[in-house]
Amino acid sequence: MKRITLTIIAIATIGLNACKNILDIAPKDSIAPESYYSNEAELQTALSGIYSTFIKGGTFLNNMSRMGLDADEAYNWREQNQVSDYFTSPGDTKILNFWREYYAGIERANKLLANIDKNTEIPQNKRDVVRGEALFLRAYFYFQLVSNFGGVPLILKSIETSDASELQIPRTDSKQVYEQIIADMKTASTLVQDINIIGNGGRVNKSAVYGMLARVCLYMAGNPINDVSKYAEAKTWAQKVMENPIHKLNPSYQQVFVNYANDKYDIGESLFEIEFYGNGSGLYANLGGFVGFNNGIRCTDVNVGYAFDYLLCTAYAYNSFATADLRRDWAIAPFQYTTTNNVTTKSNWPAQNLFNRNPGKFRRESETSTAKTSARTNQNYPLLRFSDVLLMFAEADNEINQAPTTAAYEAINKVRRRGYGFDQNTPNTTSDLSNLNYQTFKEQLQAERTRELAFENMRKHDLVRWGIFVPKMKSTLADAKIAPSFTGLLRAQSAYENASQRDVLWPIPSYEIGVNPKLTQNPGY
Amino acid sequence: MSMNPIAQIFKQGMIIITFLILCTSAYAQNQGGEIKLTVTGNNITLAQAFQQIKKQTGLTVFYNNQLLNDNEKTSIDLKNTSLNVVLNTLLKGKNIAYEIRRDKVIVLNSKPVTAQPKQEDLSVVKGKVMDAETNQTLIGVSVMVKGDRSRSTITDKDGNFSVRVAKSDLLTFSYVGYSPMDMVASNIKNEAIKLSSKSGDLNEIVIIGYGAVNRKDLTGSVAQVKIEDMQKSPVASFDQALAGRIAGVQVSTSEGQPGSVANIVIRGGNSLTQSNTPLYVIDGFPMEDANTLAINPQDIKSISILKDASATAIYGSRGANGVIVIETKDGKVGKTSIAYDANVGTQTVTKRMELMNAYDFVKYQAEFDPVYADQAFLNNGATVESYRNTPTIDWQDKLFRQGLTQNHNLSVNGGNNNTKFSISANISDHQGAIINSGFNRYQGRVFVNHNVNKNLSFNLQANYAKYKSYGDLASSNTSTNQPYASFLLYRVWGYRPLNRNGSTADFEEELIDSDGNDQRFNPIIDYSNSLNERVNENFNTSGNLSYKLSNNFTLRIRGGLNSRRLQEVTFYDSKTSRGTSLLASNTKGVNGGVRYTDYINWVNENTLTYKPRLKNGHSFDAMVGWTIQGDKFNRFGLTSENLPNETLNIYGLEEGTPGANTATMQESMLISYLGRVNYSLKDKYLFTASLRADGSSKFASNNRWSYFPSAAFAWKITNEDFMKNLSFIDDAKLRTSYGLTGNNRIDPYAIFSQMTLPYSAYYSFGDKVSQGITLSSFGNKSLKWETTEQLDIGLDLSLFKQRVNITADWYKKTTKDLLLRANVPYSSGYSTIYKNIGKVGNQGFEFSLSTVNVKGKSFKWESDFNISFNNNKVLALADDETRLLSTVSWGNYGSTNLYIAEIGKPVGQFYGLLFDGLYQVSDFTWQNNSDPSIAHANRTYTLKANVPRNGASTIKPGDIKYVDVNGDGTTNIQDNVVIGRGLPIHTGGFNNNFSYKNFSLNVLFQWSYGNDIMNANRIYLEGNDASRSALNQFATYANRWTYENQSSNIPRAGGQGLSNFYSTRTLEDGSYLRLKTVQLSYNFPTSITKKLKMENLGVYISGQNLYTWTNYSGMDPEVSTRNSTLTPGLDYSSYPQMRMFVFGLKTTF
Repeated sequence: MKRITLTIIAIATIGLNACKNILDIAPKDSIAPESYYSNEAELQTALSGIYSTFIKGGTFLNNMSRMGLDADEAYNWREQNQVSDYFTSPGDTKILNFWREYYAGIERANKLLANIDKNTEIPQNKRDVVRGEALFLRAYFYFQLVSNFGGVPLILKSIETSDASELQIPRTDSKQVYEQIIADMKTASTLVQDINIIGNGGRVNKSAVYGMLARVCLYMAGNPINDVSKYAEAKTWAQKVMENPIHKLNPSYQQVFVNYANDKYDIGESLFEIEFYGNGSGLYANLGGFVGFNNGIRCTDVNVGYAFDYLLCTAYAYNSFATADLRRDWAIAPFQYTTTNNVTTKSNWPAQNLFNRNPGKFRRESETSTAKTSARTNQNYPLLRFSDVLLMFAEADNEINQAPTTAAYEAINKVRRRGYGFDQNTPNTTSDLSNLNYQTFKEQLQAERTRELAFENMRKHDLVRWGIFVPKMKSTLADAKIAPSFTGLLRAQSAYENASQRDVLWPIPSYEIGVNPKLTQNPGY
Repeated sequence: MSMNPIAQIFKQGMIIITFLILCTSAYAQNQGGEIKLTVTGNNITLAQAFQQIKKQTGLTVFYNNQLLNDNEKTSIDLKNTSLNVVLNTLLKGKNIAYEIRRDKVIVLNSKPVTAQPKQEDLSVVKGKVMDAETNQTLIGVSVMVKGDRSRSTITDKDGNFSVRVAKSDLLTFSYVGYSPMDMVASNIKNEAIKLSSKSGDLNEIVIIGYGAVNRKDLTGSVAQVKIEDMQKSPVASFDQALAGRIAGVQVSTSEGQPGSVANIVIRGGNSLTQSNTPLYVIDGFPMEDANTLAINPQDIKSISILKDASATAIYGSRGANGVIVIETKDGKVGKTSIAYDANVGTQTVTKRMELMNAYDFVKYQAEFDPVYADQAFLNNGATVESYRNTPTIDWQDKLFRQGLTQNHNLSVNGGNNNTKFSISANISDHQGAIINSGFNRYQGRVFVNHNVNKNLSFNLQANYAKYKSYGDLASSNTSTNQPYASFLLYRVWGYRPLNRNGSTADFEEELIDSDGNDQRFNPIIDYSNSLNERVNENFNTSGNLSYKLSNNFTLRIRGGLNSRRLQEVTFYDSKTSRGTSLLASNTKGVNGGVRYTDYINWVNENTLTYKPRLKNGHSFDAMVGWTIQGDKFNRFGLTSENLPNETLNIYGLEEGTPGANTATMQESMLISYLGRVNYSLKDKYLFTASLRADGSSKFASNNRWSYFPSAAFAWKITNEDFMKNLSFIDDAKLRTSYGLTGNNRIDPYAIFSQMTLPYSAYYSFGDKVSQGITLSSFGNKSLKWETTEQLDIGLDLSLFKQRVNITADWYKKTTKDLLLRANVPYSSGYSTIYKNIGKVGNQGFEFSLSTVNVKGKSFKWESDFNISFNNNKVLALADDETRLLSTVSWGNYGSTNLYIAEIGKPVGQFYGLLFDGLYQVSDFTWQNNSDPSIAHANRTYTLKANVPRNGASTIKPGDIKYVDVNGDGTTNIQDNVVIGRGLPIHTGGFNNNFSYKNFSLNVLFQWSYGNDIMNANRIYLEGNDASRSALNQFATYANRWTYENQSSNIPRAGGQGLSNFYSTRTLEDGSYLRLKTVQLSYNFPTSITKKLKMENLGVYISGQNLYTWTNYSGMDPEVSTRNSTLTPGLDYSSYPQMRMFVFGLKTTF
């Protein structure tokens, strides 16, 4: 019996001692947030993670130009029954991805902002620059959400528990979201660096923040918030950019886009741009983009630059240009490529074929890289150009004074002169606008934004804030009904027929409503 | 490759020989029931006499000095005399009895009071013991003389025994695995004594958790699989053969992909997103992932399925899904037998889909996309009618094939009383019914038991298997660039069925169909050139040491190790969609990758059992123990892109550009303490109680430990006096049990928030790449155990001399603190978070009936019927929620909720819109006050105000229409309702064994009733939901709505409405009855086998999935391509189930 008792005791002792610590097993192949954000390099890495939101499939990578944001300027002729042809379902995957990616970016920003002062030994000024960039990016992400969905859950700190109270957040009124965006951008504007210190428009800088504030204010001043007091603010912010002598238009409109194609930075014109890198192969395959590919000129020749065109332009876009306007045949490709036996030739479209043309703004033939592939491009994509700032200034000024002032004329005419190939600072009767009243100036400005900014992902929001989305879509439908027939035209007809008042906003993704019953759906869906 | 199995067999051959040598030498020592010896000496002490015995026989005589004075002198002169006589002489006149034990000890004890028959009344009886059915002689059968163990003996190598008996002595013959038999000595004639094996009998030994028990003493609900029937199914792994065989155990395969594992759900799924797979205990080694493919079904000796809490609670935190206890074959005492079993056969798909022919296709394109149809087909004067007789390319012809299968088993089996061994090897090769897919396996196994001495014994088993499944997965999205375009069956069905008008190119050989806007790649060329292999090498070994500390205490120590390496190889050359440079979406050129994953599980278990001998009808035993188990996996992988030399295959990976690499690891550990007591009173009232405490590394320290108790009571009614008169009842037992079990199947690091630095989070600043970090998961520190409480009431009944056996059980399970990988709002920045959420109940009834219907001399018919009902209900959800919605991802669908779990209703209910037919012309107004004389084509249709819209912006006659449930004038997700059930109402099986002379026939039917299936294939291929050009459709779509065919219920071309909605249009009844397995076999009579020097020879044909009765329109109703408790019954591009026929041969030497 003694032997037995001893054995039992021995076994039990081994067993009990064994269990003390061996059950404490933590991951060895990942990093714990608790131990991160402890030095300057880690803050930068966390910041890059936020920036990478821009180059996700759902944001500016593959779905860019495929979500109907070009409105009456261009249409997606390859995809049907989805957001791109205004046959929008609340189950649309592109819309869900858009929502998901921006919120993932917001969470990364929230986490960085919460931990940024964890190590106070990192110099305050270094932390502040990071803080400013993170604040701006979060605000910009909310701007993307609020302009497409209306009010959205406004989440400014990262979750700490899995309780429903932390996970299920109702929509905040769109006005409040805009106010938060403005507040954060204002703070950011005092923290981030000057563009000339950074030397390129790839990183958030003071000019980018000022210019973006102008845009946010214009959106608030228009539909659906209609807070007209914001025109004055918009003007102020635009002015702040214009006062910086470093900013001036590139003498050549075309060169602006050739620069994007070749990773050349022009901090005079390009205030903020999304950086794509590489050709889609190798380790950094994810960093390549689809600029000039999804929204470029169809081409199967890799040496010229492979493009799987989703977008075709409308007659409206083409007809908005005067013949002397050099921008027309750059922004809208007057030709198509034909490749036979590995030889690629260009042939011009017949004059009447206005719905067949690809956007030509982002041309892969401009790329000088020798490592072109049929996969991705390294072309950067503009989020804010100086010409946009000038046009925003002119628009705000016209609204404030209810008539065009000399300053407004000067701003818009600078853009036009450059577009016609003239010197931007010398008045020219061919290009310059004059003798307009409030309304006619406004109409010219609305068309000017197409002429200058077509296919830069802004047209639909412009139409919405001006309150002319539906009429403009229907007039394009009328154009499409009388154009020469081809497969793409059927898509144009159905897209412009489908577009209706509900499309000023996208539906809240039905998936999101399923997991967050506190959300409400937008009207019409 | 081919060297490996041969080397394997050779290696095993060597092992066999080694064992044979060991066994023969061990056997020699055990010769002679009658040991002869010589003991002589004048006036020697008894102690000296005992010394002589020891010298000659090795037997030590043990005794207490108070019992015997060993200094007492005696004189003896016995030459070549049997030991019994020697001992009887030495102990003459003393009141002392002796017992010769197997461990070479003779124990002296005071004589029992019962009167000993005088030596002179004894006579020698000889006999032979055989197996009642096979007539094989049985070696080592214990022959006990009741009341005088000293005269007991065992049978020798020829099955013979001789024993000295009085005429009235009662002899008991007992042997492991056989029913004991009592005989009065005078009745033993020259005839052989036949013992029958116990299977199917109330006396069978049932393996339960940490022990074994006689079936009649079971208090819990434990089902035994009839192994012989199961082994008649020609499938590669046992899990696929279990369907329909056991009540309460639902076995289904999600699809037919070779190498896929069956889903086994015992008594309804508790866990919603986490695995509901039962815990497997293989030769004592508990494993959450059984790797069933590593086990040769022919090696299995027994499978017990533990269902209620009394049986499973001893496995504590892992018992909630039920436990499948598998014992593999050990050696048999007796002549070494060699068995070889082989079969060859074919596998084909159970069904093919009918597709639109060339004419229907052109007609459809002309309606759907006239511009395309004009370009491609209707030029140069051709009209739709010109295609009436154009040959159709049915791409299924090129995809499906008759796959060849073969299977070879060789086993060697034998042993003696001290050492038994079993060695086996298996080679299987199953070509899939789809080209370039299949499964093969090389496997070998050794099992040895050895008794070191009377108190110490051990066994050791080792199993090695190398198995490979190959072929891209049909139902997975293999490319993220074109999600909809990469599902195999969708691509095959939808591929354009004819060439363009006037095109001279060989369309069947062309890599890309440029007609579809989405750059479709030829699926046949793609699939046949893709390399996707998953090679597993699995080594599993476990050893058991059992040491008897005293008569009452036994200590068992067990160690086990499972080591598995999974090697995944992919290679896509320029003729595949993922390797071609012709597709813009392909960024990688010719590419490939290799990934290795090493899994290591180990376990140590230590148990102590106490089984005292009690009197007065009490019986008691107890077991306590502790165990520790560790799991770990490492994964390393590399990929390489733009390989310059594709002919080098994966061996050219080093020449390309490096792509993504993988390095990851996980580990977890579990420590447990367990105990169980059994008590039985008068063999009428049985009590069992058990308790297990588990501590797991997966939970934070404050929630780490949990306790899982259970209690059971059984009442053997037949042993009550009042039952004695009901002689037709052989056995009746009422059982009830209650207990708690748990589930810890979550990511081992679910409590930790984690950050990673994937390339996808990088960003370039000023054209310089910079690393970025992401928050990859949110750790929920408050996670705790999922606990299931279960109440079970059962009845076992055996009637009419065991010709009718009934088992019925009712159970109620409640699972609380459900561990759920919950979908959370994306606005949180995460997509899923592990949470404890709510409560789910499962209540059910299961019934099994086994009968011997006919038991004639030459004809016999036995059948087993079982049916089970399970009613699943959500009882509570976290955070006061009332419902939980779930999505599944396929094609472009991935964000629309298809399933709902609502409080008070079952989980896995389908959720969607009610299909309300189509909009008809009468629903619209048009120009000129709806002037009927205007041709349809010229009308501008406007929907009447009172007709609900379908959510789309433009609606025409023939468009899909849904019921506007909330009456707001439009249909959208607010109109979603429960539209069907994903879980069956009842499932079951009906197994029959017929035998006539040397023929036997096994027929198994299996069914599932009441579940629905979302036939998602029809969403794309009977209505073209995504509006893709040049996409072929199912043949049924030829009957779609047109102005000429307005009675059709299938939407017009282009009338499918908004994408990303599910409706009852494509929800179908998934009930089925299947003729699952049939085997017809013939055993050659002994007259022939003797001539061939064989012990046994049989041939058989058998088939699997032979015929299915169902209303389901898809390929096969046994399907669930995104299977979980929350998301059952989706069919999208599933690998079809296969019908199998084999011809086989069975021999034993």
